[in-house]
Amino acid sequence: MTISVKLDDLLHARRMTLTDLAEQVGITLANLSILKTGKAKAIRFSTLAALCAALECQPGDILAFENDGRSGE
Amino acid sequence: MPRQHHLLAVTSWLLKAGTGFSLFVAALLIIALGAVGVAAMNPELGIPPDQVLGGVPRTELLAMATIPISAGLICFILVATAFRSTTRIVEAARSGDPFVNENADRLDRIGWLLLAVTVIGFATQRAIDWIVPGSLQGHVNFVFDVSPIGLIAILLIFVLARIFRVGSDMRAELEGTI
Repeated sequence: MTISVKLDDLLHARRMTLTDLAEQVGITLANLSILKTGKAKAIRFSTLAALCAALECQPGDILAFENDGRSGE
Repeated sequence: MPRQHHLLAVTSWLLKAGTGFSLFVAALLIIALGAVGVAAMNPELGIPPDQVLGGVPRTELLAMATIPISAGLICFILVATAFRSTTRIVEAARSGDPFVNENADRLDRIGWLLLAVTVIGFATQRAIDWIVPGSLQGHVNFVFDVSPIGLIAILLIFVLARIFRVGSDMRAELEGTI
């Protein structure tokens, strides 16, 4: 069971770069990159809200649940 | 430099001095053990063969002497190790990163080391009381008391180790939070 982050698709659809998003959201490029590559362990509601505001979307557009048959870590 | 940094620097220095002192005493005790060994192998050295103290033969007297010396040697090595571990925790605090699992392991180790010192000291005291005859008791200068405060301190170290482990786990979790 994993949560995947679909930032790549959203950025592509909005023709935005990761740097632009980092500036708008107010978090470092390094942290946003960690989130984008799925290496983050958790996401704060405040970060999620800022991302939703910057990308004009809902949390469900950014995150997706994937049931691969394995229990989560 | 903030006052807290001064405090940690002084503590670190004192702990290093404590480690050095403990190792120095351990080295002296090794020499003392060697001296007892040499005296045991050479009847003409040290206490004259015909001389007995409190009615105890020379060989028995030397054998008795090895008990507190050996116990003291082990205890001072354990204490030096505990000082070393504490120094590393203080150094981690000085670097601003004390909440790591390594420090929890170190605290656990310190707790066990101090418990071992307490048990060895207690057992040695009982052994001396049992082995050394009454006529010699006045000549024996080995006193080890198990204090309730010391035991509570050891217990607190184990509790602190647990708190550190939980704290470091929480911090590790937080580090992955964006």
